Amino acid sequence: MVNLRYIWRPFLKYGQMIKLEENTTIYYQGEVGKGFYYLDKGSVKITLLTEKGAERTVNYVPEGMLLGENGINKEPYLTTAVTTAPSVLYYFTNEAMLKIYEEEPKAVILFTNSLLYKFRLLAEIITFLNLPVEQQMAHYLVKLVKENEEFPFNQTSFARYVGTSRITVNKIIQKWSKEKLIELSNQNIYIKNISKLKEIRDQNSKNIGDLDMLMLPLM
Amino acid sequence: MMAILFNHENNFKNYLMYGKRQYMKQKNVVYEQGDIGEGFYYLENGLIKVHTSTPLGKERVLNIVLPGQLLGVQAMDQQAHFTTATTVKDSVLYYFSYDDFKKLITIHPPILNLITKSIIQKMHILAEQINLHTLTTEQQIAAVLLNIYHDFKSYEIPLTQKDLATCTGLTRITVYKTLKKWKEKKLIDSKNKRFLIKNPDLLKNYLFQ
Repeated sequence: MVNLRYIWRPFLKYGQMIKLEENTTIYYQGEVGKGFYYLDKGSVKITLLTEKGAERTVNYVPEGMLLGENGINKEPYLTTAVTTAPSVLYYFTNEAMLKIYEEEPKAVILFTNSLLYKFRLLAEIITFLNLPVEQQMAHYLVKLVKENEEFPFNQTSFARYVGTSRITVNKIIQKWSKEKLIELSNQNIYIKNISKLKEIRDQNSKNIGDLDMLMLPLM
Repeated sequence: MMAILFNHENNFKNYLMYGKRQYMKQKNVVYEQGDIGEGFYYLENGLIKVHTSTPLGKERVLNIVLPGQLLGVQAMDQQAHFTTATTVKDSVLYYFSYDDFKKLITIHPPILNLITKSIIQKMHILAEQINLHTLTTEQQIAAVLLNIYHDFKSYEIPLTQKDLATCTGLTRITVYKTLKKWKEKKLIDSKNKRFLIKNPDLLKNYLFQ
């Protein structure tokens, strides 16, 4: 798997740099697409609003990744993107993208791969939909730690990521703490026993596929 | 009612000479979940269902592919397929390898738009599945019809009840009863073995009730 992080760096000159405060909406689900973005610094949360009004976190965009690729060619955005920290982004319009196509043909494949990665994130959610919550939590936790090293852990937002209640998350976190699989300190979460967590994640894994493929290691 | 069948993916017809023509009998696997993607297909004739099996072994039909549509595009990153595609009817396909694609895209850059559209359409289907992961049988049928409507921008759905039953895995009786009920409610109409979605918004509201 080609690591997708930072692959878009050579093309930043075609975009427009924007600085956003924490908690700013970059685009809304259903809004007519106006282009896509590159996250240079900061953090962005991608959410999907269900018809019943529940909010499901699709992922936290790691630095060096694109977001909103599905808003190319005026397609409506599939999700909502909100900054969770002060962030620096580069914004690419359709016109900018056309220019990139013309001048940098290899960017086309990189863009397609990035879009396909987003497809796989949705497929990942579907794979885990009906599995036990503990298994889902193990997967998303391993992934978050691998992509971000250390991050402030908030049970409420993690519950939204997994698609369950905060109480359920708390119960399992306490259990894992006791079993020394993880350690909580200063609002950060550290994995102490990754192989055990992966074991929980991979139960009945016949059809789960290569989960490590979905993770974007730090460089 | 006017059917606007000439959507983006039909334009793919112009590029078929770059692909390899293949004939497949019904009930054959085009690609399988777990296989590494090596290219994609264009369906010229026939009918294909795209399904996935969950870790608990439950089968879920995600999409059906009609002539003029692309399939398998979502594994162009040369990773494992998330779904399995099976022919429901005898089908004629054109296969494009990853190398064919790279060649094509340098000769005809606009083709990227057809590809991204196809991927984005599949992403919408997945998002919908996440929204409604506990679909009732009626919702399953409605979802299949609405997906076709959205992709072809056509009110006319060229499927028989038998096709629908095969694609969704429901019995013909269930499909028949559901469609009969919808017909009485004037949500759909049928003629010459085809369905007409009379009012997609009504059908959608009905689906999400």
